[in-house]
Amino acid sequence: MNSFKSRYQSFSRNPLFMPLLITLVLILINLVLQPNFLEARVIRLNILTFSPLMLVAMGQAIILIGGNLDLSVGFGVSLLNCFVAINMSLEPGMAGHNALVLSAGLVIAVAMGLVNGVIVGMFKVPSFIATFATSFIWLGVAIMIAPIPGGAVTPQFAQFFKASLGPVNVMLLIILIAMCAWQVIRHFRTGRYIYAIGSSWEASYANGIRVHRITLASFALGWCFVYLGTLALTAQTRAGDSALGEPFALNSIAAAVIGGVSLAGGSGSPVGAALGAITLSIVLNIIYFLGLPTSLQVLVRGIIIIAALGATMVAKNARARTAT
Amino acid sequence: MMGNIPLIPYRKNLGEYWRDFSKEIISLLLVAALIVVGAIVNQGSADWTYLLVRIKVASFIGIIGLIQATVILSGGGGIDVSVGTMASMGALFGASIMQGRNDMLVPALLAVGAAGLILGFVNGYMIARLRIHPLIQTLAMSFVITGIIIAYSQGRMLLGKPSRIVEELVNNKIGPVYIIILLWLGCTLLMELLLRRSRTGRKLTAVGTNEKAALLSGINVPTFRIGIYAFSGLCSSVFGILVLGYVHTVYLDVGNQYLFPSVVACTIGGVSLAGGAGSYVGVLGGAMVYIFLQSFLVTINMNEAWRKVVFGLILVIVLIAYSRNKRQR
Repeated sequence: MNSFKSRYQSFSRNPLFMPLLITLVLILINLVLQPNFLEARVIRLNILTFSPLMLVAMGQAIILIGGNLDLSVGFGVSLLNCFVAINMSLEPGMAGHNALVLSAGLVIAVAMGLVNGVIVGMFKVPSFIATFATSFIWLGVAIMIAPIPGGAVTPQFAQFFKASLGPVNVMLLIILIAMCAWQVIRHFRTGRYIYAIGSSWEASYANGIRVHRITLASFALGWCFVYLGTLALTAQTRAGDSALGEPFALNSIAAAVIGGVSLAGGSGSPVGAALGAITLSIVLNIIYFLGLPTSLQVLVRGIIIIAALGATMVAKNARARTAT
Repeated sequence: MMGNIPLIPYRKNLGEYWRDFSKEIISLLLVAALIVVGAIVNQGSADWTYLLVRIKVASFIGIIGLIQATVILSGGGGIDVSVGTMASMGALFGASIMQGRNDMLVPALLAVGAAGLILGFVNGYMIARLRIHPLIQTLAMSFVITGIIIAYSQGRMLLGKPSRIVEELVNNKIGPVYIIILLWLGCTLLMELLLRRSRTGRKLTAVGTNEKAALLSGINVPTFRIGIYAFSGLCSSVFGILVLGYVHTVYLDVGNQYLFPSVVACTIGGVSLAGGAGSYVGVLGGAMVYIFLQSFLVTINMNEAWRKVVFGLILVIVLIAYSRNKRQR
């Protein structure tokens, strides 16, 4: 009994405890309101709907852990989405070309991350305002690529994420692989250093960590996830639209924070951010199935988000008190 | 404690004056350069009436910038991204209470102010007591306010007008300049004076510069911060009524467009996002740079996409030029 209690206490101190609890409670509420929630079709649909924000939030989480934040992921998603959709060719026999487009997109994503990383890491501009400035650039370029919404993706590309590998949906598999990838990276030097520069930039510098390089690495890694999220989004919308990405900027940060990632840097994990993204998205489901009048939906969503934030922070503050 | 000790007179040398006012001077020079180059490209853009209208637009950004700057100065990553929706809410409530009648102006101000004060207080409480990051808390609050606006309007067409007094305040001139511009200049100078000379102003600087030192010297930092966010909520929702006077008709997101310019004006004006450092006069310059940069890009016939790219690039360059000295979040 005693050991159960202590095990519970050590688990409840885990930073993922509150995000997991919130997600489970919301899933339960959703299940009550929507009896077919556990049907394979509904689950797959939900995964496909949630995945873009989950992946972008995971990328945001890596940047946050490194002690910065990135407001430009929103219009970054717009730019990458436009680039992929406009340049993909629907002609038969263009698989090689399309593969080239998809890899070029990854290169562009990493380059965008590096630009942010240079401005923030090398020139020491506060990340909040620096990435706010670069987001204008991304938006401008996105509008140049696709002045009006348009473009298309190949049916194979769109179907790929919907397909199943055995019992597991490909999209879910990608998210799981991405999570595992981070769990591996965080045990390597780069991963550990990202946590180190996030918790204390000065101490890391004093200990000989090449802080600038690690900042660059955190941005580059984060933007790989952002690109994955963009692909998931593009597979669903099947077109390029420069207005599509905007909500991702602040939603991804909110998701990460609800998932227990600290805006001060150095703590949390992308897994938590993914849970936070599920929370943000599932709230919409619940509101829909509650049958609330349309005019109240936005208000209820906002209040639930604040409640989730409050719960996460109360848990975190309690943890901080017991730790000292 | 502060204010009781007589200040020791100290003569600054030229270098120190430059250090203290470089950002104000740079922004003034930038505005002048933008006007001159704009005039060379297009004669009409230096016309006095046109310039005056641009300054009038800048005054709105300048006023909301003062509010934003107060929050940023209070430190702790302080920022209020709900000012835009607060202004929308103020405009909406104001219009439906005033209905164009002068005698309803005071009730409208009271109602709008109270709503803003309460929501701002909630912001402050969550930030100072529960330690939610200001960016996230005020973002979530802006969702809630949007929700309130939608719930209130029920998707109907919104009716309501600003009272005549408000319209006259925004659109009439005293002598050669608009009243709103004078109001802006007056507010800026008053706030600057309060920041430098008053007890509250000194507290603001102290809290923003070093939270722990402020706490140890007897300032109740959480309560003070709650006050700052409540002030921000109050002022930005009342600001919505000014916006209403400018746009005449009300729509759901009428104030939202002022959020990002308010942050940009602070940044260009040299208000440090780390808190504590910066001046309200700088924000005045920042608002002018923002507006004149935009109108300059329009003057030289740049298309929308390029305007965004160039605006972003210039912002990055200005930021890099400003932040050479110190790493800030």
